[in-house]
Amino acid sequence: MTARPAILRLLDRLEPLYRACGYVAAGFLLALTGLVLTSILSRLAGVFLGGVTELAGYAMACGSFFALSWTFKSGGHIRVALLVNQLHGRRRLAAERFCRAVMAGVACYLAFYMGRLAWFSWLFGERSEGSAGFLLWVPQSLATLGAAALALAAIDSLLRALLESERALASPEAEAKAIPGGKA
Amino acid sequence: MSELPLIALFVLSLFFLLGSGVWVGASLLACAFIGMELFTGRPTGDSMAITIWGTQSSWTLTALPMFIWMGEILFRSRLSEILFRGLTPWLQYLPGGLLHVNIAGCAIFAAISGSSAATVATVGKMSIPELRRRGYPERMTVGTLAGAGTLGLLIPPSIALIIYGVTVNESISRLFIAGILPGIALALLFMTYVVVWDLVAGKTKVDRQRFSVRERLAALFDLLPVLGLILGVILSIYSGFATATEAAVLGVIGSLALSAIQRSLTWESFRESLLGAVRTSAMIAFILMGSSFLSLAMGFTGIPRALAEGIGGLQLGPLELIALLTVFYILLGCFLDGISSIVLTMAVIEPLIRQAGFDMLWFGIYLMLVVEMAQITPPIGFNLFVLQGMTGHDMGFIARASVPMFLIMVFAVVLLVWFPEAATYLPSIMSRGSG
Repeated sequence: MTARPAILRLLDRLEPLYRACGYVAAGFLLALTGLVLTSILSRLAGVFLGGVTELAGYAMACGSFFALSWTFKSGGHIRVALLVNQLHGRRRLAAERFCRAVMAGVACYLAFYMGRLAWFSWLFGERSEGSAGFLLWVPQSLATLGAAALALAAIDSLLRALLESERALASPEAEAKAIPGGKA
Repeated sequence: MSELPLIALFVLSLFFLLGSGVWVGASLLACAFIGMELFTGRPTGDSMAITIWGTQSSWTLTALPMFIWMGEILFRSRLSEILFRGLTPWLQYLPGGLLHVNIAGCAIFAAISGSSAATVATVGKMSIPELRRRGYPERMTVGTLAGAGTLGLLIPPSIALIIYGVTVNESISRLFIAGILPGIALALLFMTYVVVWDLVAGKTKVDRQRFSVRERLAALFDLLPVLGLILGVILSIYSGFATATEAAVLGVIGSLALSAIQRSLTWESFRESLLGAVRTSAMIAFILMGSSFLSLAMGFTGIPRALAEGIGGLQLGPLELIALLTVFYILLGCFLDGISSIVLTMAVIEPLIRQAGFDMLWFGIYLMLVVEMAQITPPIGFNLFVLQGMTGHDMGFIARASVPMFLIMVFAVVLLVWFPEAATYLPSIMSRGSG
């Protein structure tokens, strides 16, 4: 173990990507705000705008998916810390590797099938049920991108736990005692 | 009963995944995958994608990120200071003095934020140092804060109520309105306890500041914008003018305006509140993705139906059932956080609750109360973690300080069972057609 393996140096370069995903998600949250405001104002003006609520739902879904990877890498997702915190040394590392392996598996599975959903929607030209009839593959493929970023982040995290265990245990996602809304 | 080993395998896999520290959302997804593979021939991955997409893009759920953002904006404003200064001249004359500021402050902040941990953090930021300086007993300061912080779940807007509403398909607006009276009643119960405690123990003979009438009115004036914001959000829901999501957006605009008036709105605080909201929403969204898929898988396993029939066969009265559930939730709360225990249990016991004939609005409020109790029971109680970080006391001290509050909440559950109208009256008279 002299120089860090090239793969890890490559992974380091990916860090800004997750943060960028967080900013994209923030953009979707702003878009959601704008859409709801539009719906209130249009109702006050007596104009009916079909499809605004659907678009708002899509903006939220895309935002949620895009935010997943950054939230994961910054330790925002919660986990049950009770047992893991009792472990030390090699056992702690083994538990951490197991958790990250499950996470990587789940995230890849999710990304693959979200992609498949978008692909089928595109293939059959599926549209939303409302009067506006939006093409579903558009928001679904955006959500797939977010899911893919989570898959990448999870694999990244697993590789680090396998290749440089000490640093991996100090990373934010290893912090098991996350508080919802607490730091918020 | 040939399926019994499969069911055991399925349930054990859930406990194992959660217990080994796998992220809650990933645990639920993985367990649902196992359930689907064991119990049905349907295409697992495709069912997963369509279910998750359906929940995540639903209009009802859009209230969630909006209310989270509203809380984040106000958390970064000078609100805790204003609350403390505004309430002090009015509440210090009650027996128990400034301890009431903890409770009333939490109740007010709960009405603008949906998270109980954020409520504890915001109010405690100002009141812990002030109460310490004036020599209030530490045990009471910490205890009232831990207890009253849980009002965040009960008093609308409440993140946990939104999640319950989305899970069981109840109107968010009506749930919010249902939470008002029980929330206020619980706050009053906490305050009564402080008064009684002070009259019996009489330990808060601390010097009071003197305020002129003008100063008191000025303090009240400072509180007005906040109270206006709260009333605006709740009344717009209650009158049917706005859906929960729309009220949340109005709340976001109002909070931004409020911070701007206080001059605490900077580009930096705006950006941080937005990113904070993104992070918290994503954390919850991941759990909801897992729970929506797990609910689907649960249905195929037949566990919820078997449970409903099994418990139904025991001929339990509603009171016994509620008592049983209360114990169950308190135990569960020792291991899981509030949101996870809501989504996880509703996937299993929703048919049971419906079959027993409970009003789903009432049950939602009941659920908030018992989940609140779980927030202050060790070893996993998020309010305890927050207070640990803020006061530096160990978990044992904080948990012991919270015991009276815990007992008061048990009493509140009894009251809620006794007078179900506390939850159901306001929604029953609110205007129709407000979804």
